[in-house]
Amino acid sequence: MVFEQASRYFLPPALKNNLLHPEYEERLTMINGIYIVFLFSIGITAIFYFNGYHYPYYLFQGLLNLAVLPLYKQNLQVWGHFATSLVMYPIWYYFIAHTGGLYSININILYPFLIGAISAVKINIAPVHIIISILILYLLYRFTPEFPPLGSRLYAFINHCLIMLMTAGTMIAILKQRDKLVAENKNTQNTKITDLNDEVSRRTKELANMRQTLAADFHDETGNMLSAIIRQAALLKLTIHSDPAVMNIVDHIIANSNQLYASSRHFIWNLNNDSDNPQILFNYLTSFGQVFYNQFDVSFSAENEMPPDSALHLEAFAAINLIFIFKEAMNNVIKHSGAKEVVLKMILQGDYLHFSLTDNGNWKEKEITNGNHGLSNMEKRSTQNNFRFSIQHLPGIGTRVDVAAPAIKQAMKPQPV
Amino acid sequence: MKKRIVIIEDNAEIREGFAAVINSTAAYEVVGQYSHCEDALKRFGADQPDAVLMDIELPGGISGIEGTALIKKLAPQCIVIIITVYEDTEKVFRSLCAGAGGYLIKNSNTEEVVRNISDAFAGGAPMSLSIAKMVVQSFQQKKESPLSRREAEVLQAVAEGKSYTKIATELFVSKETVRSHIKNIYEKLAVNNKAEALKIASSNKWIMGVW
Repeated sequence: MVFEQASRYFLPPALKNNLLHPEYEERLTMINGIYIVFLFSIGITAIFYFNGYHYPYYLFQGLLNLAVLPLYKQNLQVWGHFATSLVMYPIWYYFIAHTGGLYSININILYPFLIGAISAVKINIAPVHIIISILILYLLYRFTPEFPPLGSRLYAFINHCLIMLMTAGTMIAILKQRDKLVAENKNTQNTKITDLNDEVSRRTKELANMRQTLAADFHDETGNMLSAIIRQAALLKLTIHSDPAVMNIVDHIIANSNQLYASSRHFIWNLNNDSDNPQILFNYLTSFGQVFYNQFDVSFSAENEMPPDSALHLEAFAAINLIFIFKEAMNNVIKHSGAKEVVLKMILQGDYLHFSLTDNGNWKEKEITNGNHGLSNMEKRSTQNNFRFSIQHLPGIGTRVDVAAPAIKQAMKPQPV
Repeated sequence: MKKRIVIIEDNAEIREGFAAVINSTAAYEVVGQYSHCEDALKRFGADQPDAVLMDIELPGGISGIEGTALIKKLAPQCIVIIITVYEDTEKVFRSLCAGAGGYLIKNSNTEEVVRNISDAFAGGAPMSLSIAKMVVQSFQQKKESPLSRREAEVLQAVAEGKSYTKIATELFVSKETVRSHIKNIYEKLAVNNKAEALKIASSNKWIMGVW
């Protein structure tokens, strides 16, 4: 756990918590590798030391790697490799040359160093490391004196060169295979994402079509049918206007059909794609208020104080409930207040979108406080939908109904688990 | 003399309902009821209507929008009032472009029906926020707006959702003046879109044929 945290500390900020980043695993593996090399170098130096050899070269390698770790954080790891190589190749050469040259057992250190170097850099830089390694072998060959009991220098040189090429070749092949797999994986992922996107847009289109059909059907069938009922009821009223009891029933039929028509219309509108967009809802409420108050001698206007580009939206069923609440509120103004001026307003305060209807009328105190039916309906709807409902009544000034609905920020990018 | 009214609506119950309401008034009488435009156009000369109540969705070859354009071509003084379930659809806007003088919601009550018709005769067609927005857009496509400064102000105010009373107060005019500005806006809209409306009609080979 501590080890993992220590490794993650040296990731560049862009990668830090982004497990899905294509380079995340690769970078983390490299940093882990440096820690392992460091621990290994301490161990091996200690073993030499306690056996009477003072060979600090391994420790140099480990410490140098550790020193370049901060460069990883700055995304400058290439310079780190460059610096390590620049320092370590001469040191290894010095170590090998002074422990027997081409005949030294320490020549073996060149192999893991080469493998490490190839895996740490991009594949196209790998040949540089191979050439440097062979150059070192050549220099050792050139400056190691011939020592017949251990065999020919040339034999050792050729032998090392061949094994070096084979090792490097194998390493490059493995890395190429890995890169190919990563690319394939990425391709598959992209194909799947594209497929998914296509599917989502197909479904969205289907849904939009369904909504349109639904709206058209309502318009053609239900809407016309309700209009027919209302027209026939009106006809009935014209025919038998003498009987007040029957007239009352007919009036109720008309009123109920009208209400059914209006609420079906709001429902259909609510199916609309963007009904949870506060701007679009506000537009709908404004339009409703305008048509409604045009029937009376009332000044109606709307004030939208939300920045048009704020990416906020309402909860799923908020819009339809806000429509019903404000319809009731608009009606109440006409029924109970005698107001001449009505203002509909939308404003964002903290995490809440406030919708308010202000009038300059005189409400009868009794109607407000004594459980007015419409008012309690509005409050009930608010409570059921996590709205904050408030009504302020200032005698001589007017009344303000304010409903605050939670504003949801646009969905965030999925966070890594 | 009573104003002569023709109703074109394919739903018989709605049609007869409107007819009964209109016939019960002192000012208007229904002189013809049709379920599609073709019949109405054939009898247009005999009916001599002052106003036509026109459904938008009609069976047969001529839609309400094309029918409106044809009637305005045939008798420019005749007022076409669109009857619709929704007041703020694109189709209503297009019929206004074709020359309709107003619209009437199908489930309006008796008083509203009579008021809307008399408003239309008085030149006071209603305008809602969504229609106003479509009108604004339509004029924006023209290089030079044919609207006067006052008409543009009224249109802008309607598009912002203000009621007629509010607009009248803000512009220091009467509600009637606001209504007459709206009537002028509709007329200019129709003049501006006449060519297009007629193109729709002629593409259906109806412009020359019937009469």
